[in-house]
Amino acid sequence: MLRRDQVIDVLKREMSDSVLEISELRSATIVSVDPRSLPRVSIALVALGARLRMMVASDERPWRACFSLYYIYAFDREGTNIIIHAPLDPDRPTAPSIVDLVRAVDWYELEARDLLGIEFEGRPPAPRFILPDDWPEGVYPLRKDVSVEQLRALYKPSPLEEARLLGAEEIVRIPIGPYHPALHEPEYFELYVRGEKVVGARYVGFMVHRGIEKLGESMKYDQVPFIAERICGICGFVHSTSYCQAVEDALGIEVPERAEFIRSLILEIERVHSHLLWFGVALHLLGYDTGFMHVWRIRERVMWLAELLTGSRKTYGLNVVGGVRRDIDRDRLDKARQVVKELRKEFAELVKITIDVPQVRARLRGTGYLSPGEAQVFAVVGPTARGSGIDIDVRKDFPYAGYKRIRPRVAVYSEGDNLARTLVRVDEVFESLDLIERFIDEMPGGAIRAEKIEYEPYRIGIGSVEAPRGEVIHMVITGSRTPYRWRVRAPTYQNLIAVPTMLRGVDLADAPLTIASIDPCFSCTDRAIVINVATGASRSVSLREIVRRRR
Amino acid sequence: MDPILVLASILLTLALVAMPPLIDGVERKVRASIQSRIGPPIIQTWLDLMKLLAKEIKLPESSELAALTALLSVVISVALLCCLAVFTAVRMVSVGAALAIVMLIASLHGLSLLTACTTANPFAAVGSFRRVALTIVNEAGLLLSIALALYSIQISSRSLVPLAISAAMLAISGFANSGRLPYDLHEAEPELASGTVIELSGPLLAAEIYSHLAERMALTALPMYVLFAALAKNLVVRCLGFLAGSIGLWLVFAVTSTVLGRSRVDLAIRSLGAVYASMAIAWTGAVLLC
Repeated sequence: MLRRDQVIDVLKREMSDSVLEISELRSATIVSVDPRSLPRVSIALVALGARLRMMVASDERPWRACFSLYYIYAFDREGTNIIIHAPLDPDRPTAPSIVDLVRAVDWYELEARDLLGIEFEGRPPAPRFILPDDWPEGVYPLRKDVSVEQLRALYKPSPLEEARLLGAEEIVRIPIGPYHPALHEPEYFELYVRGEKVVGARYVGFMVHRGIEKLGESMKYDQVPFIAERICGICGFVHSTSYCQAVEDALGIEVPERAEFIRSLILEIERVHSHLLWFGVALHLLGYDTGFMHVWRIRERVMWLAELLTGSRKTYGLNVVGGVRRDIDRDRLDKARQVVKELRKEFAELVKITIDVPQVRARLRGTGYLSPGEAQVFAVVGPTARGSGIDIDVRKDFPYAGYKRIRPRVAVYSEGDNLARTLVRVDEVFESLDLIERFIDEMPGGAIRAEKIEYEPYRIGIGSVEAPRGEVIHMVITGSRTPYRWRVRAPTYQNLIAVPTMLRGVDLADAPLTIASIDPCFSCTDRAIVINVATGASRSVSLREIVRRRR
Repeated sequence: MDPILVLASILLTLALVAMPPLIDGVERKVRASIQSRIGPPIIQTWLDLMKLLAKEIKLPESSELAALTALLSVVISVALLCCLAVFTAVRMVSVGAALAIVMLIASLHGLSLLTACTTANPFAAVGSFRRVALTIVNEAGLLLSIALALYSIQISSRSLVPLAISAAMLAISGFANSGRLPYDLHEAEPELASGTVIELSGPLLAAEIYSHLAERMALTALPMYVLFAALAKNLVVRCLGFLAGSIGLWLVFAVTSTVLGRSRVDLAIRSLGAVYASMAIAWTGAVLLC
């Protein structure tokens, strides 16, 4: 078992020439290194068993005259975070790519290139990842010299106006959606099939980037939780909790225990309704609509429960930095306990019936396989990891809120198929119902919000929460009135990269379920793809080209 | 011909032609009840068809044959229902009658495949190929069960067991051919959406839906025709038994499909093949023993 100081000793010993500075945070140790040594440091950390949780790129020229890269590595079993910080040249920010060594860093590097103009040496040229095709050259939205107002004035997506300008009245005939392989959200998967077998897959995403991180940098600390909760339309509370925890971690704020219990209680309710939603959608994708309808009936009671305790079925507006805004009275908690008892009984009956339907079991078992080794390489999180035998759960590994006192039992299955991921979620629903009861029974009294909060600039904090889809992690660098840099990483970002691997070899019929098995949460929309049927080659096309072809 | 038989044939034909959308409405109600829903009114399918018929005709760009195939499907499915009604009323059970029924069912399947194959829509193409695969296996089962039923009728005086087995085989092939779960593979996963009919709208879609429901009715009524035409000598018992049995079997199919999930084309072919083979063996055993 490695303690944080032992890891630091290894780094100091093996890379004494590269380590510039070491500083301690409440939840992590920051090791500043020479950017050129990033590959060596990464190899050393991966060899010690570290998992990349997130990479954050930040423009710190106004603060310390550099760009910065923060690689957050976790030693899950030890509950240890090591942040590798690499300061980059302010005029020509460049760093060596480590994608060949740490596969999970792929999208982070592309994102840092698009949004901050940081170049990664050793990567083959790649098209834009997040920014749209018609985004102006040389404008990097997360740089500090570009304000939100300037961005708004600079770029407005206006496909209809552009289409009219080009004389394309019939542009509506281009079939962009609404049919999608899995969930009814904007998404695009290109499947290459031989007969009914999928031999390859490609994901195209990030068409609608909402710029929430940038927006957060222009909002007061207590306004951000409201927008953070709108990151996800299903489990938004995990984001506001994670953000608040990051600020609290940075500023050393002690949150009253009652507030922590209320946060955990709501997080578990959110997990139950999210998993039920997933379970219903999975059954629908398997054509078992009777199961889908009954899951929806049961889920409605969970939504009612959320409304009983928070006043809202979804998007509760409960979190603030330092605690929660509203208390929950005893009468409501007693009612909630009764509902949970009934829910457990109904859900147990439903699971028994649905999992035993022959077609459901036959199509879940052995499909969408992700081996434990691949799960580790892609650094997947949540039920996707636990379904492949990776025993990680933020509630257990980095206890926060009420989980510091009440530890959950973590469901792990090693089969790596769609059935394993389903069973993980089923077990988690039962465990969450148990946890809800325990949080109600053992809820302490007292205040619900820290009394006085002083905001100091340039403090770094991490907040992470085990969301229904896996680990959500937020990093905040504080400013004097607003966050200086706020980075959000949702679990789908980490899991999506493994989907093409999971799709390889499955039947076309099982592809939608396999995609859905990571419980993806997309915030993007489709673009048209031209496929040359003769050669099988495909490429993205711009709106202008589509219009030209229509003529 | 006896005018009473003519009258019975006409009444039975009218009932069979008018019933499919109505029983579909009952099926939707039954399904809703199992799924804890209220469901649409029983006449909803009729209302849907009437509304579609009131819309303008719009031909799919890449499938000009669609209008012809949709209308031909309606004609053939109604002809199939007429055959079943008349054959039941007049108690005609022969190789000629069987051939007429098989020809009409095969024509219906051929037309629906033609509709699917002539579309440029790749989703419809995937669905149609799944349907071809399933139809090949199922059509073999249908032919086999009709042949076995004809022989079973001839030996029905010795034992009714072979007839019951062949009627059950007919019912299974009818269920698989009806496009219900778990065999709705041609319009299976969400990426296939409405499968082979994705490009149809308005009256053409109404024609396609009606012919699909009429085909369902015919496939459900087929085992009842075999049983009642062979066994019931009384005209009233024969006609009412045929009608009630067909409705009852339709509802059994409805409940069965509601509690099952969707199969996969490889699993479906394997399972259907196994069912037909085991039933054929059981039928052979029953014939040898009687």
